[in-house]
Amino acid sequence: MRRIILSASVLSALVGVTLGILFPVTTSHALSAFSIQVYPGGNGYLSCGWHQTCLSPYPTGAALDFGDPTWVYFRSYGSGSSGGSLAGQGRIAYVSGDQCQHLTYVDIYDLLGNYRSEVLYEHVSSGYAGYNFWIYGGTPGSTTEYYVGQTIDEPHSPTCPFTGMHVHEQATGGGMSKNTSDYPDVSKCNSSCWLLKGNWTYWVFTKLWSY
Amino acid sequence: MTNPDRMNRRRTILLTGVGTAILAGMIAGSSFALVRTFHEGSAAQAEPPLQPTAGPGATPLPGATPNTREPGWYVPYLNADSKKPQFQGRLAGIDIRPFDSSVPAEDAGGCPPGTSTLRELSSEDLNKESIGIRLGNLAGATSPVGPPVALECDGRLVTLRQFFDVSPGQGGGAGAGSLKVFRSSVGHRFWLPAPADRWSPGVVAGRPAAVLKPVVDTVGTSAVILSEGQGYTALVGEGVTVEFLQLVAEEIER
Repeated sequence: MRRIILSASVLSALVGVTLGILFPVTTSHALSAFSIQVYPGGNGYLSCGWHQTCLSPYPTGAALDFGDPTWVYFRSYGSGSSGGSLAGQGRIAYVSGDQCQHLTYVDIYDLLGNYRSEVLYEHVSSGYAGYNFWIYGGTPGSTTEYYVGQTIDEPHSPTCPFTGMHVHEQATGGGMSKNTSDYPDVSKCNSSCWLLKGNWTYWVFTKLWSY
Repeated sequence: MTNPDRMNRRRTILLTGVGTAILAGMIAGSSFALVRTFHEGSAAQAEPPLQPTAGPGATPLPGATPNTREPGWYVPYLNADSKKPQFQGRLAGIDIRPFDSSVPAEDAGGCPPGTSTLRELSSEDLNKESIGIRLGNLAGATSPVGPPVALECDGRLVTLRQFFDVSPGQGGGAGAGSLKVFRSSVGHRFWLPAPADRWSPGVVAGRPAAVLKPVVDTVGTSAVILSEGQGYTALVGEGVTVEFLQLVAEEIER
């Protein structure tokens, strides 16, 4: 009788262990959340506020202009809860037809290759199409600055009726939110909101995502 | 053996069997729970941060199949793509150009300098135009980002562009995407720097077209540029497939 009880115990223990190995607890990947604030690509500020075409009387739109730059940068402050220091990749694209021939974009992909959003730097000439770079995130956060091109004075082209060297910065995809309350202007930032290290209030666009 | 003895023996066997079964169940259950708990603990400890493993500047190993669950899996493909020379030439009647600072901006349809204007179009305006952007059956898969913007020369619309968001899962991949539509009634020039191995000639919506595939999967710029009479229709995507752009082209040309 004792032998039967002992054998049954050993057998049931083996069955339990086997089932435990075959059916482990499935832990889902912890949710990782990221946010990116995009800052002025140029240094100066023009007075047309949020606009579409920057032609007087400046109807409200999706873009801000930053004047007086020569060099234009993708600038961001990113943060994330993944435990690492990276949020995704930026990739420079240059696309242009016969209507204002200097459209430089930065497309933002997350770490798993999902397209997340796109920032257009118009009137910017770039020989760096196809270049890709890391966009930093992490906790509490970190900055990214990557050169994308230089501003072009468009009026030499009859197809682009704009004047003055400036970058027209616009979110053209991915549902980025624009900063309508505290956006960068000359009263807040003087010459550069980006250079106000530690003051991340005056962003232009922001994007949140998680997976 | 008397009947009472037989009864007692049966009762003893029955009770022992039931007790053994209960004991076996408890042991099996405890073992099962212990092993699962151990596995859960080790799984939680082993959960890595969501960070790439490939080094900066890495390029794909020849013949390797990407593991799309690996953070940063696509970056070596972008790195390799960025190192290739960019295509310049004529494809399906379209003059494809990379960025070239020496190329002067060119006239659009003989529009004299200083006479062109940009205008945001309303949907009513758009429907009147011969080069309007009507997405037909794909309208539900996309949402416009801002109004269409037209360049006019002496009151004549010569070019038009509009940006769209592509809803998650609608552009041929799992995620979201973007779509840019450029239409022109003048010229066959288009600047879109990309390596030659991603460009190919094709026929889309019954028209000759220059087709640009993404770098890998739906990552990177894709395009379909249709040659149309004196002008073109260019569809440029991010996060979408060429097949999606072909569907958009067919809707626009319908």
